[in-house]
Formats: sequence, structure tokens, C-alpha cells
Amino acid sequence: MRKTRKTMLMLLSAAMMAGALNGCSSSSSKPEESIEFTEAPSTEAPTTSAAAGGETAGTEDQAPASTDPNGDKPTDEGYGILREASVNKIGSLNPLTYINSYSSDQIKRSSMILYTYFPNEDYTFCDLSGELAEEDPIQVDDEGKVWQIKIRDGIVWENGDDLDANDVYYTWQMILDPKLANLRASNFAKDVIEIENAMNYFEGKCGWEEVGLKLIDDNTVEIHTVSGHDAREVMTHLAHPANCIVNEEYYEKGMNADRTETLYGTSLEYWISSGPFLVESWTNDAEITFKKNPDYVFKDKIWLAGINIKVVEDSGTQMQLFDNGEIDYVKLNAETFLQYEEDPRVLFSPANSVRHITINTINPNQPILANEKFRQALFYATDRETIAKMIKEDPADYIVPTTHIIDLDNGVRFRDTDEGKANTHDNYGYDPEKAKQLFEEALAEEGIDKVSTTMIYNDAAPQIVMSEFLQQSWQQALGADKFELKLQAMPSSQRGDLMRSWATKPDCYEISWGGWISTDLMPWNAFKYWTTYYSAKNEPYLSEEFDEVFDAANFGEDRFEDGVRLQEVAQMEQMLIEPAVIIPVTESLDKYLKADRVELTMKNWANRVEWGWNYAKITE
Amino acid sequence: MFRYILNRIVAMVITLFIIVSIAFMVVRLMPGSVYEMGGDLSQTVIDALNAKYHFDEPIIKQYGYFLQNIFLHWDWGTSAKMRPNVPVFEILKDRIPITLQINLISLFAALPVGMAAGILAAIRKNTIVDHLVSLMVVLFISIPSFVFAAGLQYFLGFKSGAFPIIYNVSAKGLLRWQSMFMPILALSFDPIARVARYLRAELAETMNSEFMLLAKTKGLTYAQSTIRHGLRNSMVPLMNIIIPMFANVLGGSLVVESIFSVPGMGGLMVDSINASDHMLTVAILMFYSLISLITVLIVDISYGIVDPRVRMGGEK
Amino acid sequence: MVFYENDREKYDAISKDLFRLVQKDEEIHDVEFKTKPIGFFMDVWLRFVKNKASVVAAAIILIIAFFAVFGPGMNEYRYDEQHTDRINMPPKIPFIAKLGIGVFDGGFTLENRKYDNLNDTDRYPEGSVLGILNPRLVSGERIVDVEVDYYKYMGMDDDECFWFGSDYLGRDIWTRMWRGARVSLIIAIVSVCCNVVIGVIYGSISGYYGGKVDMVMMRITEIINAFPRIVIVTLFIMVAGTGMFSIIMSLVIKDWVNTARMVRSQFYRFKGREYVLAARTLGVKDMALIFRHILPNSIGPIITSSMIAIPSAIFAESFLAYIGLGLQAPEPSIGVMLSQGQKVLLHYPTQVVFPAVVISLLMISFNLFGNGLRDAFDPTLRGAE
Repeated sequence: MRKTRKTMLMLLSAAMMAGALNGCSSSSSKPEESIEFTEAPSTEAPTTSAAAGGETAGTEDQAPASTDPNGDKPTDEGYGILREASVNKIGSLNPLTYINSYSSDQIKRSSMILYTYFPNEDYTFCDLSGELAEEDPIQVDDEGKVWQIKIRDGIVWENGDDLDANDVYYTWQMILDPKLANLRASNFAKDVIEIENAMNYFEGKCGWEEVGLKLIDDNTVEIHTVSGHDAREVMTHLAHPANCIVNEEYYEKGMNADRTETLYGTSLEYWISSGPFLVESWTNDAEITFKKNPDYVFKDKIWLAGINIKVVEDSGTQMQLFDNGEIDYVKLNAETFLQYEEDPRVLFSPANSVRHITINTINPNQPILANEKFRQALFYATDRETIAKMIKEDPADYIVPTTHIIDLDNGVRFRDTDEGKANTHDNYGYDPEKAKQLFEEALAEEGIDKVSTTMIYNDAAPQIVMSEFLQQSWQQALGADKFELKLQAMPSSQRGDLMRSWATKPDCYEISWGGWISTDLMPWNAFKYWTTYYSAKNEPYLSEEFDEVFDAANFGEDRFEDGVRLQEVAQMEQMLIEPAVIIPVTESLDKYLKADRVELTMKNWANRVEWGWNYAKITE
Repeated sequence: MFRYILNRIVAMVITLFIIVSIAFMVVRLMPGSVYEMGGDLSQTVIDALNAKYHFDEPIIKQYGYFLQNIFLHWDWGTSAKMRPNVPVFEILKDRIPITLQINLISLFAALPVGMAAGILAAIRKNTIVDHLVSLMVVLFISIPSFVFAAGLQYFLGFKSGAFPIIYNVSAKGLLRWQSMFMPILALSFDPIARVARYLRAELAETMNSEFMLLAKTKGLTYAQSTIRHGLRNSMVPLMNIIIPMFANVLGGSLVVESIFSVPGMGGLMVDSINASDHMLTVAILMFYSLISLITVLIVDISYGIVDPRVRMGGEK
Repeated sequence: MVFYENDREKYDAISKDLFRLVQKDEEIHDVEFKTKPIGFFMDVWLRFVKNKASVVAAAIILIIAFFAVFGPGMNEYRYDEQHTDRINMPPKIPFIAKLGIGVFDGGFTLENRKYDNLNDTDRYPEGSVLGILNPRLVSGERIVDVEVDYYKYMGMDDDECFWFGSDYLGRDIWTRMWRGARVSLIIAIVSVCCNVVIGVIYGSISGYYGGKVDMVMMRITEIINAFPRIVIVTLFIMVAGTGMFSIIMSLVIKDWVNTARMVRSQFYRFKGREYVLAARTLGVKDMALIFRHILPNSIGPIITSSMIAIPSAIFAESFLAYIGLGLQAPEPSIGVMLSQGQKVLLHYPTQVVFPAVVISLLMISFNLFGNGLRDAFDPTLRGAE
């Protein structure tokens, strides 16, 4: 890259010289004539193959063999190393205690799981199917409360040991073990499905025999749920990374004498892989290298020989590494993106989260926050388009993100439905006049003539910009003499903790930021954060009416009927937006820059599998 | 002297105990809870974890458990968030060698350079050499370290390609040394400048003493007298700043380490405080305090040794 | 050989007539000084102005202080005035731009642009494109870097300009920087003054009395020193909220320890000296011994170290901003601007260059100024050149 730049510069200067000499005679020569575009060596792969990049594993590769070092089918070793840089660190590879979603991605790369999301046949969408499980769960009873899962034959750990139903059963025992009290036991609390007595066992209220997780034989496990479900819901639950299978031998090896903690997954010594990739080397908090697992059941889908990830915290350093050809893709932040706006290598990755403002309506010091008109005034005073333009995201005056799929069979997005569109506003809900009017009414209702309120925000990039912008623009829209917004920055962990303490300390915050990352294939489940029984609620929104709709959408008898869920999702969204319980602002959007040596097999961004880096090819 | 040192060591242990105790209280007073993770944990699990690690009990009781574990089992606890379940000192053990290596090399490289520059400036006082050294000192001290580090990375690493852009953990041998060069260089600017400045000032002061006059009267040249007599006397106060520098090498540099992706001690403290990883924070605080206490002790004792006129601990 | 004997009567016996005056033209007495007597501070001043570097440094500090006071009012922007359609503008000063020397002319290189869009006048208004660099093919697309006059590119009037550019919200960096310099200087000076007062008193007592007093007092400083700034400032923010007070307090709480240690070591160095012993023998009181006889020895180091402490305090404040514990937005400070600018160092280097230059200048100047002051105050250097 660097060298080509140099040669390019020389070429260019030569061309400019020539141009300058020619320029004497012809007064206005178009720049086009003096410029010569050369192909950079790193982009040697024919551009046509990049465009038609979606060859699936099974279909024939049209590119001539000489230019594609991969051949027609992936070999057992794979070809080429995908090089990544990450700001996050893998605290632990233990699927039962991992800390962040970044670690869980790495765990899934190197562990087997019952069900997971694969790219579909033509690499355009995701497909939830069995990895360790041989097929979809089999319904045993009539109500859909008992399900059996067949485990594939011939799955092995890295060391050659068999991986069968006993391992699955052991994993379940460990994740719910009351003495270990694993973080990810949360996954067995009531959510999409609820396993019989799982939390009771965790709390020590009943014995293991009573838990609805059974071992039938070496190849079959069975689960018992509290209410009836369909196969898809069961699979969704089991696809959560906390269900990655742990190895008994190594898990016990790392266990302490009291059986309260285990070192499993904290270093290579206590780790054994089984998934698509094997952990080859691992320096904690610095670098991890995976290599292709030749025994992986879907090894035909994996083209890469391995993946190398370095921890690089500084975004400037990451950019330099990318420009230098040392990493294969890089995430762009808003400022960096300005310089790559027109670059064809940019990939847009819609994140399934809406950034919103949350309001503490029960703060005794600020009774006006409980006033619906005041909150609506803030809603209409928010200039989402300008904010989105500055932070390079998409404006959002709604709660269900664009990526959320309401009808999985047809891949219909909620935002594309009529019901979804009905919940949006003109001009993304920006209407300063209406805001001003509502604000005046609110002031009159409360009998005060000035509002001064405080917003707490993270010290991280988009929130700084958004908060500082709103401080000024709200003031302008509502009148600087009557409205004042103070800002207070704090680290994110402290802010989250402060916000969630409203139940015990009603005056803990006034206005803050929120944003939930939720299951994009189940928008009805994504509303759990506003139900009264959700444990880590951001704001004191307690509505039984809302709970009812939520329960109907998630557990109701008629939920599988046509259009019922759609109506209910739209209704829940409306219930939150209309009284401005939360104020949506933008929808987050990740931008990546991909090197040309990597060819994605995914034809487009898809839910869950996203750009499918694991399935990418190296063409060099 | 022996009694004094003994006294000091006893005092040091007591101080350390007080520091650890206060640290224990303080980290628990800080806002933010351990299991705050964007709300994707169930309350039942959070309660169970709080009970497991006694976070739900009064601070005094927690402190009791903490002391009990230390005195009975020498168990300082495990990390809760940075690397769940890993004993805290294991984490330090992974991080320290890298920081130590880079910082020590940079310090050992910087000291002779800094001293040479300082001596040169003092000998050639008020000449172009002196001014150049002063300029260097001033530049090294006054330009923010991230500007230096980022500049080195951009020009030496990215533009010219002479050195790798980031520190390479997995490389062995020459490659590894090559990748260590830029962080070492970036870290050495500050000690070079400080030693040079301090030594020049001290030498300049020593030059005015009577014994220097005598040395010159004996027929020594300016340079000879400076190095033989002046330097020795200036070493006393110089130790004062060099010893703390050695203590600081264990701390690592947040900025340099983050720019060059060195997995060292630099960001560990801030990260663990932000993550509310209580046990790890206490361990780091205690480790840093121990180092700084030992340093202060050495500095104080060295006063008495290098300059017998100073009686440490002596009353008025 | 004996010149005279110790027998006074023998000399008294000599007759006075034997003596005569050699000359008696005029009466002789001491000549009155032609110049006025100068006091200590006058002397300090005279010696200070001899040191050219310090004078220049003092001038720079004064200039920065001048801009910190009047700079924000010099153009039409307010420090918190946002121009959301004018974000991240490069610097442009009209009269320098006219010289055509390539700086402050609003020029900027847009990287990775599609070559085919260059003729689109909606995107690139007439005359905005100055040059084309690095033509290359990226994924089959013709891509170039375009040098533009960013002000024309954004479709702005010729008379509208940001002298030092604008930041991520389109706020004028010139205004913010000088306002930030004001805030930073206040934070630094207040905190350093507090440090020196506390540190000198504490260090003197500890160093002078020694023994048990010293033992206990020094252990206390060690305990204070054990807690990193981030812990202290977080606690303060919890109690007192963000803002100047918390930052100043967190700077004071930790930093006086260094002053105290330095003063103490000076006391150890000097309290055993003969002149102190002499003074004590003469019955001089403890307080007088401390502040009149021993402390002046440490004035030099105190001045130098506190002068260096001022820019260090600005750096410390910028460290707090770096980890997100800075001032309440939108109040700028040099630290806040540095930490913001560092994030965009590669793409908008000007956003970090200006505050970095100011802080570097302050650092250099306070350094040199401190050196000059120390030399001027040092009584042992009196008359020595």
C-alpha cells in the first residue's frame, strides 16, 4: 500500500509535469486527461468476482482456479488468515461467565452450541438451525411444553474426545449451579421461554431432579418449559451464547476446592475448543489466534485457515494498521467516516438499537418531568436529522429498529409494515413550534415559569455530541429564558448504575440516555425493558396496560396467528412514544472498511450473521 | 541507622495496612456496581452473586471477610469483571513483565543520555550547546506525550515503515525488539529531559561552591573539576528524582501503552475502576502503594548514606 | 620582633607636640552614595531582567494571559455557539490566506472521493477544487484525494471564517481555546497556590521537628499519595458534582504532598547546619528558625517546582478530561480540547495543534520564567555572574 502510494505519487507528479507542459498550449485541459488510475496490488482480485462475491460452498466457483487460491471447496486447512483488531478484550472464554458480547462472539467461534444462526442457502439472510443438535427440537407433548433434542453423532472436542448429550447435560448443571452462581444463569430466567424450576434450583429452593432439563440417552436431551412454545422459540433460547457447551474435564480442572469458582476459559491451559475454529494461541488482553477446526461439522462453510485478533484500543492506530494492510477490516467512527464517505469499500452494518433519551418521571425535585406535555415538548424539540448528520447515523423517531423482523418466514421488517409506518412522524418528529406550544402549556399546568434540568451522559463519542447539541437546540426551541439544560458527564458503568437506582433513590437522575440491544428477530420480546417486572429498568415506567399487551404478544394463546403480533408490537411502540416515556433520537449504524483481499460470502448484511466474517474468503 | 530503618519498616507495614483498609472502603463507596452490564442480567442472578461475594452485607462485615481471607489463606480475591474468576495477582503478574521490560529499557537508555546532556550543558554553560540542550529539555517536557507518541507512530511506523505500528506480543526475537523500539523511545523523552534539566541546575549550583574554586586552583580544568567533584555532589539530589522514576516504571503509561497497544499496567487501574472490579482495584492500589512506600524508604535512607551530614529521623 | 609594647603609659608619655598633620586642606568623611539604596525586591528585579530568556518567557505568559482575557471577545463567535452545518472546519485567517503560503487558508484534503463526482457542482461548488492527489482504483472505483478550499466546498461566504477552525459541533476553536486557557490557568494557579501554602507549612513542620512528628506526618502523606487521582476526583464529583471546584480539590489533595516532601528534604539538609545551631544557641524561637532561617533556603526549589507545577496541573486536568471527568460541558478547557482533539488527531490535526501549542508554550515559559525567578531570588548568587 505504502509503496504503491509512492509510485503513484511519482506517476502523478510525472503526469502533472506533462500536464503542466501541455497546459501551456491548451488553456483548460480537463484534469481527466492527465490522470492515470492504477490498480493497487492489494486489490488484485478481479473486481467482477468481488461484485459477484456470493458463491456458496456448494455451488461452482466461476472464477478461474488460477486467480482463486481457495479452489472450489474449502480444504480442511482452509486458506488465508483473517486479521482483526478490536478495542474490546476477552475477559474470559467461559460461556457461563463471559462479560461482553465481544467475548461471546469469540466463544461461539470456538465452541459448539445446540442451535445457532447460519447464513442461509444463498447467503442473503440468516437461518437458525442446529449446530450440535441434529435437527429442530421434537415436540413430545401436545401443549408444546416438553421438547427433545437429538445430538449429532461424531462431534469431538479438540483433543478427540466425544462431545455428546452428557456434555450438554453437564453444561446445564454447571450454569445453574447455586454455588457457582454463574453470571449467565440469567439466561434461564423467564425470557423467551422459561425452563421448569431452573431459577428455583439456582436459588437453592429445589433439587436438580425437579429442573426441567433431562438427559435421556447419550444422544438425546429433553427440556420442560413452564408454558407452551413452538420449536422456533425453544431454538432461539438455546442459541444464546450462554448455552455454548463446556468441557467437563477442563471445567473441573480449573475448579477451586470449595467448588465456587473455576478458571475454565481464563487461559489456554484451562480451555478446549470444539467449534468452527480452534484457539491456537492466546495472550490475555493482547492477542488471540484461531485456526480452522478440521473436524468441524460444517467445515465446508469455512474458507478461512484462521483468524488473528489483536487488541488495539486506539482508533487512530487501528486506521493506520488498516491503511498499512495489517488488518482486514476496521470500524469507522463518525470523524473517520467523513474521510471515507465515498469509498466503495465501506460496509454499513445497522446495529439493532435505537439511542433514546430516558426521563425519570418520578423525580421529586423535578415534578415537571412527570408532565406528559413537557416530555412531548422535548420529543418535538429534538432535531433528529441534524444530530444524525453529525454523528453519521440514521434519525429515528421510533423505538423498534429498522433491522427488526416481524415476519421471519417472509423476512418482513417491522418498519416496512403499515403499522410500523403509522408510528412515525413528519420530519422525524421535529416540530419546534409544536414543542414550544406544548412547553408553554406544560409550564402553565405546573404553574412555574422556568425549567432547569440536568442530563447525565457517557463520556463516549456520540453521546457527547448529542448531549451538547441538545443542550443548545432545546434551549433555542423552548426559549432560553424558560428552559435550561445542564450536562454532567460520567463513566458509563456509573451512569447505568445511577439510573437503575431510581426505585430506591427517586432523585438519582433527571434525564439520561438509553439504548437496548435486543433480539432483532423478535421485536415483541424487545419491549421487555419497559415491562413492570423487568429487573434493570432504566426509567420508572410502570404500566399494567403495557404489561398486558407485552404478555399477549409473548405468551398469549393467539400469538402465532396472522398479524396479531404485528398489531401488538405497534401498540406497544405507540404506548411508549405517544406520552414520550422515552424520546428516540437516532438509530445506531456501524461502518466498516473492508480490505479487498477479503471476499465476503454474504451478499448483504443480514440479521444475526451480519457480514459473516467467519464465512469470508481470502483472495490473495 | 539500623534502628531507624527497622522503625521505618514497621511503620511501612502499618501504613500499607491503613492504605489497603481505606482503599477497600473507598472502592466500595465509589458509584457503580460490579454487576452493572447494561441490564441483561436477571435480578435473581445479581442477588445470588452479591450474596456469594458478600456485597449485600455491611461494609464492615465485608472488610472482616476480606481480612480473614488475607490472613488465613493469603487470598486477595478474584477479579469480577476484567477477567472473571482469575486471582487478582495473576492479572498483575501477566501485565507487569511487559510494562517492566519496556519501561526499564527506556529508563536505562534515558539515564546516560540525560546525564550526558546535563553535564554537557553545565560544562558549556551559556554556549550554543547549553541552549540546544535547554531547547531539547523544554520540548521534551512541554509537548504532550500523546502528540509525541502519535507522531512517532505516524512517521516512523506508518509513513516510513521502519518500525511496526504496534507492539507485537506474539513475535519472538528481533521482530519483538523492533516492535518495542517506538514505545521505548516515546517513554524515554520524559526521563531524558528531567534528568538533564535537574543535573544541569544542580551542577550549576555546585559550581559556585568553594570546593570547586579549590579544585580549579589545584589546576584542574573546568571539565575535570566538574566531573570529578561537581558531579559527585550533584548525584545526591539526583538520586532523589531517579529512584522515584524506577518506581514509576511499574505504573506504565496510559497514553503510550494505549497508542502502541502494549498490554501493560497503564490502563489497568482506570479500566478496573470504571468496571467496578473492586478486588482488582484494591490489589492494584496496594501494589502501587507498596512500590511507592519502598521507594520513599530508599530515598530517605539514601540521604543518610550518601550525605552523612543529614541525620534522617533526627529531631530538631 | 616586637612592634609595640603592651604598656600604655609609655606611649602616653610621648609629647603631643612631636606629631603634626600631614594635610589639613579639607575635612574627610565617608562619601554619600550617589545612587539610591535598593531593597531586596529591587535587586531581585534587576537580576531578573538580566536573564533574557526569562523576560521573553514572562512576556509570552503575559501575552497568553492577555488572550485568555480578551481573546474570546475578538471575533463574533461565542464559545458555546454551535454551527451544526459547519463542523470540523479547517482554520482560515483572511489576510494570511491572501498571502497564499498554504496555511490558514481553509484548505483541506478530502480523502477517498469518487473521481466521477468531481464535476458535480452540487458537491464541489465552482472553484472549490484545488488539486487532485493519489488517483487509484479501489474495488474497481476511480478514487482520488481532493484538495479543496473547504470554505468554498461548504458553500460559505468569503467573509465568514473560523480563525482556528471549528470543532465537532461547529464551535469556533479560537474562542473556545482562549476561554479554555482562561479556565485552565485559573484551575492551575489556584491549585498550585493552595499546594504551595499547604505543602510548605506541612513540610516545614515535619522536616524541622523530625522524629515522631515527622514519622507520623510522612506516613499520612504516603497514605494520601497511595490513592490515584481518578479515585479522588470520582469521590469529589460524587460529593460536589462536576466542575471547577472538584477538579481543583482533586489537584490540591494529591499535589501538595510533593511540595511538602521537597520542603522537608530541604529542612533535613539545612537544619543541622552550623548557622542554625548558632541561631538556636542565641535563643531564636522555633517559628523564626523555620520561616526566617531555614525556609529561605528552599525558596529556589519551591519557586521552580511551583512554576513547573502550573503547566503540570493543566496536564493533569487534561488527563481528567481524557478519562471523562473534566469540566461541565460546554465549558471548554485546554484539557478538554486536547482530549477531544486527540481523538481526531489523524484527520483534523489542527484541532489538537492549537491547544497543544498553547500548553507547550505555557510549559516552556513557566519553566524558563521559574528558572529566572529562582536565580533572581537565590541570595547566594547575588552579585555572581
